[in-house]
Amino acid sequence: MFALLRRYREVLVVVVLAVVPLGIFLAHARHPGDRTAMDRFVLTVTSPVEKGVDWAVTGVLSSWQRYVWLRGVEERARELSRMVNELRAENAELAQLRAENDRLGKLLAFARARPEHRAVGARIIGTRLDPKGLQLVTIDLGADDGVRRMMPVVTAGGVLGRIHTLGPRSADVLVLSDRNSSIAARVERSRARANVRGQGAPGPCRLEYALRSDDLIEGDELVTSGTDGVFPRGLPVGQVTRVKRGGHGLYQAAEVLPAVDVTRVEEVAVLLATDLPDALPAARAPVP
Amino acid sequence: MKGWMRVPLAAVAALLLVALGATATRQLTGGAVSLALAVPVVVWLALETPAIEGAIGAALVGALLDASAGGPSGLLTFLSVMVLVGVRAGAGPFDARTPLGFGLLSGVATLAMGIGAVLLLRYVTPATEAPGWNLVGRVGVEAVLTGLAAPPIRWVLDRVLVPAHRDQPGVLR
Repeated sequence: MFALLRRYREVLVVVVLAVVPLGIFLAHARHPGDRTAMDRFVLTVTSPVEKGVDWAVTGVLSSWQRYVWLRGVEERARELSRMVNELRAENAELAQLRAENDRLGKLLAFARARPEHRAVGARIIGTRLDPKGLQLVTIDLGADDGVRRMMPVVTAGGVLGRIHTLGPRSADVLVLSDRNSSIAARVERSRARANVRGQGAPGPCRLEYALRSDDLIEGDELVTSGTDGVFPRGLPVGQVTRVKRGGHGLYQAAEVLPAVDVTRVEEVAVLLATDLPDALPAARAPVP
Repeated sequence: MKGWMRVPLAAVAALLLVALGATATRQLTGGAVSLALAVPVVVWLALETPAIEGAIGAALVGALLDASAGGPSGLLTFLSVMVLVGVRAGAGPFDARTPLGFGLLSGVATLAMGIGAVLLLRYVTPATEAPGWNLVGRVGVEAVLTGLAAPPIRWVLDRVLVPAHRDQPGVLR
């Protein structure tokens, strides 16, 4: 018996080594996802080796491609650089368009929130904020577009100014920071009345004719009162930033930070009012 | 070299070659083609080692392939042993020890192993999950590439594993 086994041991070993795995295969073939204990053992042992080889081969190939095989890389780099520049320009343009879209959206929402006033949109095409002269911005609408003198000009943030001089296709807007601009305003919180006058330069305006007895504190929001015959009531004008009450006098003084930064405005809306005065009424103490 | 060392060393060589083949094809072709670099090791074992040693080595390499392939267990182990027997039976008519002969034999062995796997899987798995015949083209490409890569593998194996002396070359001798 042993002699027989010894004689055919090669055949037996080969048959066993072929038949056993075949049996395992046939037993597991219908559930290929189930790994046997043998598979798991082999994987546990071989995974680190495979990872090591993968790391080494990847490193060699990567080094070859990055440091040796650089054919065409210069041309590709130039092409990519050109593409990057084009995309940057396109991106900047898109960012501008998006910002403009946001601003116009706000302006539209502002106009829609006040259906009692008809408004037309305009772009600012020039600025003259010279401290020696008038504080003006020029818009691309004029008399031919139905714009008239004294019409209020606003942005989504609030009051910008009023139409000062007219051309057929353009108009100058006297902004609220001009010394000649005086807007009748009301404190949103306490309903106290006052006038907001420009100081001749972009930046804070001055609050005039606020009665000493009026309730006025820093941070108060000011809106148009509608009593000057130019600006409809309720438009944001600015915020009280510094209140000064002297030891005597009828009025208290304050600084007003305009709701609209005249140096940054690009799109505006002209409110098409019909019953406007020919000239701005002389600044006077508001009637309580 | 001691005979008992040749088998584990062959398995280690197969492991390194499997990892090398997988990484190289992934890096160079994104996995569009595959390489069966362990098959030349089985062919080498068939040609250069005694039957028992070669069969154990082939079974080890097959188990390794089974584990790394993730298919049903035992399939590639069985096919590796069958390839070993087939190479020992079929290597007689030509000189398989030349680079050309070894490459050709490795290519044919890879093709046989691939087609055998497809056949067995089609036989035992449900029709909806069975591999299609379209895989045979891919197996053919794998066989050609493996055949091309086989001569250098043989060169390394000859130096690392050192062929055993076979007194009576035969299918199972």
